[in-house]
Amino acid sequence: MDLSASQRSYLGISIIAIIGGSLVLFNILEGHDEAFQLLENRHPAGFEDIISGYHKAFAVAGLVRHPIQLLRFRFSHLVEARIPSEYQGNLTTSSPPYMAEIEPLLELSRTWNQTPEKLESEIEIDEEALKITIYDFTMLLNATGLLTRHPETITTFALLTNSTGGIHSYYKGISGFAFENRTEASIVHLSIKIDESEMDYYPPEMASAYKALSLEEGPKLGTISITEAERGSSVRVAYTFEAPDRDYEDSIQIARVYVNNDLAIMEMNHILGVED
Amino acid sequence: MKRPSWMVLSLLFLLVALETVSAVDPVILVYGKEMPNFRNTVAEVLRNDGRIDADVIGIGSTDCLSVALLFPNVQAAILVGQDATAVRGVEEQVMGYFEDGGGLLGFHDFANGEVSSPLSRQVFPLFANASRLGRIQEGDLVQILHREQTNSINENLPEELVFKDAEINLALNRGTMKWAGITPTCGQYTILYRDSFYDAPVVVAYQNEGASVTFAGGDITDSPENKYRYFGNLFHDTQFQELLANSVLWAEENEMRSADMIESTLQELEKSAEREASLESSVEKRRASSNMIRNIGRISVNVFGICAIALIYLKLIRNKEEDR
Repeated sequence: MDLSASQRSYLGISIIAIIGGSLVLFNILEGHDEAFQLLENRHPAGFEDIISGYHKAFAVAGLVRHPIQLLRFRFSHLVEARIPSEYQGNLTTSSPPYMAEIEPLLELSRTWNQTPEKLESEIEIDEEALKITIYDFTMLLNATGLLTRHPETITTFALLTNSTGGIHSYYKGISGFAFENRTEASIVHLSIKIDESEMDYYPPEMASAYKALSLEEGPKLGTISITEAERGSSVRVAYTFEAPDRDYEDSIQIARVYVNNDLAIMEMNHILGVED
Repeated sequence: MKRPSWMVLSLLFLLVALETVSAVDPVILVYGKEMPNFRNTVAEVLRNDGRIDADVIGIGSTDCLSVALLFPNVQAAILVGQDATAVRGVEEQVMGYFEDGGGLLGFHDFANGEVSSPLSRQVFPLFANASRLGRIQEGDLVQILHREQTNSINENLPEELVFKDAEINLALNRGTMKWAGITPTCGQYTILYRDSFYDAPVVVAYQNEGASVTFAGGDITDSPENKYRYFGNLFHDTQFQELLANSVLWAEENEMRSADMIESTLQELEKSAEREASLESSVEKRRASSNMIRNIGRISVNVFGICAIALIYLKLIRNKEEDR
């Protein structure tokens, strides 16, 4: 087919535009340095949902964009706490009360030349943007080998401040999938899915009935480590709670993803309490 | 003779390593929920005693105590329970600490069977469900304790301890109206002092998995306004301060937890640091090689694309201009 000069010119310009556009897109996508891309962060809005059984699962899922040697998921659950009365008189920003409560633990960490993991982020509660500061002693205490024997131990403390620096609330909790004895909410199913391979864990009595893995054999301290995650792999961690019908304090679930020991993603999910 | 530099470096590394190991100082915890004056007073007494070479850390909440008791360098913990809320929620952790070989001093509700039943049976061996004041003479407290058995806590103290306007409460079983008995059926206990007037056991040292010194139960408050219940009446007494410091030293000497646990924790921290370093170096190597491959790929695609654009320009657009 013979094309006229102007037709050839239009065809040339179109092909150049397609190739040029593709090159730009290729360079943008290739330059994307996020090794793990979060695709799902699901959590119940409140304990009401957990009690009623509706939308009660927590799930974090994502896509491995570059090969990762060690991909680690960590989950913590914190419950709103009352500030101990002896510290209530010190409700100032310069000397937040929770510092007085956790100062002894910082002092103990210093005797080991260690510091807890300190994380700062933002969280929205009741449409108010708040700053959250977290002190997590889990990794240091895990080295003692005692934490797995006492998984109910409070290892994570968080203070929420508003835009003027005033104290909004104070939370503390554990490293784990459940709220443990703080709320009587208990985990009834944990699923770890890597591509098409899925592992399901259930409480011991259910596990034997289902001929499935028991949660007792499952990951400890809310930590799941995946070695040699390949490019293009999809990973999903989901767990389900059951909670008896009663009052609950507000809670925060912290979901963290570490890529080769570096914190890559931190999601903080507020779960509304239930009050009569 | 000039030393090779690697030898100097190795020596330096060894010194730093030794420094890190010895840098883990022993710690004594002083726990009193909502009793800051008690914590400060006890900490001051211990810091002023030249024989005690440990960091003294005050703790005011049950959650903090639960975490703090997991630290391997805690050689002794002094626990005061002014009421049930100070004890409930930490029984399991205190029990676990003792079973691991820890050293403890227990005051008041930690030795009250009604409040801390498992602890008062297995850790602080003076089981009772109530307490009462000692002898009051004309409105004033005068307590005389007489020594019953001896160990390093009381060997250098007088046969009789006399506390004026102060006393250690006596542990009493309400149902039977009998003084507290010694509860554990295993382990070794030493009744250090009894109340001279009532013959009730008041200070008892106990060794089983761990080591504890029990001071008989009773009410206690942080406020000097309460004449009989104020802790300072007793804790400001110099003879009692010596008894307290001796008890802490004994608990530190007889605890069997920290040495092994410090070593294993240091090893674990070292291993964890090595794992991190090895992961980091391996990630760095992989990143370098994958970056090189990615860069070669990216350059090739871009060169190929630009060549294709140039070719199309020459064949389809420039030719048109030449045709004109």
